[in-house]
Amino acid sequence: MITRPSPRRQGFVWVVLAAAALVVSAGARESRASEAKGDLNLQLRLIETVPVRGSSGPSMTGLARIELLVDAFRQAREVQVAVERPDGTSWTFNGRPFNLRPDDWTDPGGEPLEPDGSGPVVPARGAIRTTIQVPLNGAMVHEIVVRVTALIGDETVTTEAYLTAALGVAPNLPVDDGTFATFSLQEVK
Amino acid sequence: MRYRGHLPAALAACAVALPAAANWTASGQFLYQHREWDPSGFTGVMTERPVRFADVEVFDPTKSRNKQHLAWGKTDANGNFDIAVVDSATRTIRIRVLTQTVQTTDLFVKVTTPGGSIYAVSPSDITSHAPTTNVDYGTMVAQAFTGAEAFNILDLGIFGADRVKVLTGSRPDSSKLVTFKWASNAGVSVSATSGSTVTLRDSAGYDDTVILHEWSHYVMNNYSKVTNPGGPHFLSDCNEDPRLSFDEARASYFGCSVRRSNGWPNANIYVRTDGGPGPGHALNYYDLEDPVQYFCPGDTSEVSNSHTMWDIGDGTETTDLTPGVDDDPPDALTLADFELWQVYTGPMKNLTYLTGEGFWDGWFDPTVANGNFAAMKDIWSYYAIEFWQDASEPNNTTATAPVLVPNDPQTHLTYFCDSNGDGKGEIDTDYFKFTTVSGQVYTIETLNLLSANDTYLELLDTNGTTVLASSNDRTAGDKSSKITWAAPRADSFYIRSKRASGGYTVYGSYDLKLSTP
Repeated sequence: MITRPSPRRQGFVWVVLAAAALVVSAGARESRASEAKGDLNLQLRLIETVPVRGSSGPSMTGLARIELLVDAFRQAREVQVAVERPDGTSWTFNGRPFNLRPDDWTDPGGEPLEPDGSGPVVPARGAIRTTIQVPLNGAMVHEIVVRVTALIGDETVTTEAYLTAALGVAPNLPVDDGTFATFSLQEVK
Repeated sequence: MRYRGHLPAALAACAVALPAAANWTASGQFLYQHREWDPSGFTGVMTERPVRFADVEVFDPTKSRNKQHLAWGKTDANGNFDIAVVDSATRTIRIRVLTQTVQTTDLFVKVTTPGGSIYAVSPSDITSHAPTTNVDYGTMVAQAFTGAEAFNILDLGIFGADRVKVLTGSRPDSSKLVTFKWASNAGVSVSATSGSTVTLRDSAGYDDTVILHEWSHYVMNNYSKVTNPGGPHFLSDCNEDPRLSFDEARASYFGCSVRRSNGWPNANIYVRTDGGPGPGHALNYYDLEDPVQYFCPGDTSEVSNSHTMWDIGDGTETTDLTPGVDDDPPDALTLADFELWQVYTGPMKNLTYLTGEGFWDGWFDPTVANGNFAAMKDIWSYYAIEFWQDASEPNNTTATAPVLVPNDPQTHLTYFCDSNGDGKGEIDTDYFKFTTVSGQVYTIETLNLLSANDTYLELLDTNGTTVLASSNDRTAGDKSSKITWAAPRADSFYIRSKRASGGYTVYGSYDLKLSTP
């Protein structure tokens, strides 16, 4: 027996089809275009800022735990990480250089990398991940530049990323009441 | 933010209050700090620019939200505002400038946090304000790293809207409201655009060319058509999807054209920074007039495609790194951006896939008829993007097939036919004829494919119809073709070369070689 949908049902079907057509046409009209990347790219994520127990006041100390995600267009070898200040000087703690020891590198899913004698390798169009700890000295908003250097072919390629880590002070963020995110103007003395 | 000279001015204004009516005027000027940049990143120079055409609200912050509002106004092209406030109470007053343009009837731009909050900057409250006392807030400057970025983004969006007005006669209307989403701590590491929403990387608040590039995607989403598949892409990639390479190139060209049309410096430069304070911090940049940097032959590079479109309008007047010189490469064209605009918004809207060859065809489409074939060819050929007939045309039948001689130098060809000579292409099939020696092994192959080409070779018998052998992809992942064949007799045979089915383009260039061991 052949059954036909009722007129009302047919109307519903047409509405659904029309809606689907609209979705399809809208999808064809626009796409999620993203920003072009360089040969070597670095993303930072501040995991946390941890004060050292017992330290407080303007001279308080702490650590910024930062996750690094390095990706590359072509295979990048001998990946090295350095921490700097925005003016390009090396990051120091109590006036002295500190020994940066990144955690073991993994792939983006957290799996350990295959051992390679020359250091971490970023696969072509792939990414690797690690975490670093940066010592912080003083209650302030710390401005941190992480620089990554690698060999791509025979060429040394460098990239960097910047973030801030607030230790013992409020970060420079607006007050957001859900409608307006407000920055206060400060008076010039 | 820096709040410069306002409270003393306000207090002075209070002292000379006009007691005549229970109304008062709020006036002043809002500026924002702009970080100047060049190819090396930030120069270290900060300039102050007006917050233009932004909404300004006067309100009483001590009241509940639905009773706070006192008056709306807006800044003018110089950041000045002058707002008449109807008021009858002594109260605390606050003023704020917003990253929205609701008070300007033909302007639809806003900048929000990822959660949708409009950015605002406010000076200190004025307490016990009498309802007849005018307030001159003086000049207020939103500073970098504490809100100025949002006003920089707004300003670029407004400049963009005015660019659209030049091209179309009006700014984008309310149905094309553009929303920039940005925050310094949103965790967004790659800027992207979908529909009318531009989501900016946390560190992109002063990456003016990135902002205008993404804004250009919004424009094309609303005025043209987009078939960009999206996804990660790299400036060095010479083998991008042709839909992506065209769309990204168009956005780079169009964004930089806003700067060029306003006479801003470094109009030819696309720069991406890490947003850090102080000089430098460039992550990468590219120069739309440097034919060597990121050089890729063919139309599957967003950089090469952007060079071609940029060069149509580039001239000696361009505010580039070499003012007074027409660069990349020297050419005969310095045309208005409208010539490209009418291609994007005209014939290209009818295409299934928007690619570089679609732009080329649109340029010569009778509805546009932009012409200038020789000058266009000069520009495009520099990047080995060849949307024109090869020297062997017409060879679309066995009757017109040129003779190939084994082991002669390979023949350079395009799958592009222009039978009526209007510059716009037609799908092309190339025929060649060759003479065999009985028992000789011959290799027929395509090489050096460019512009997303995908060849398909057939060996035809003497009758010109019977297919003796064929080859599509030489190997998996290699879209060139190769036939190796032993001639059964001494005779004439034919080679038929055409585009393989599928893909997003129909032209492309290649070399054809006939050889014997």
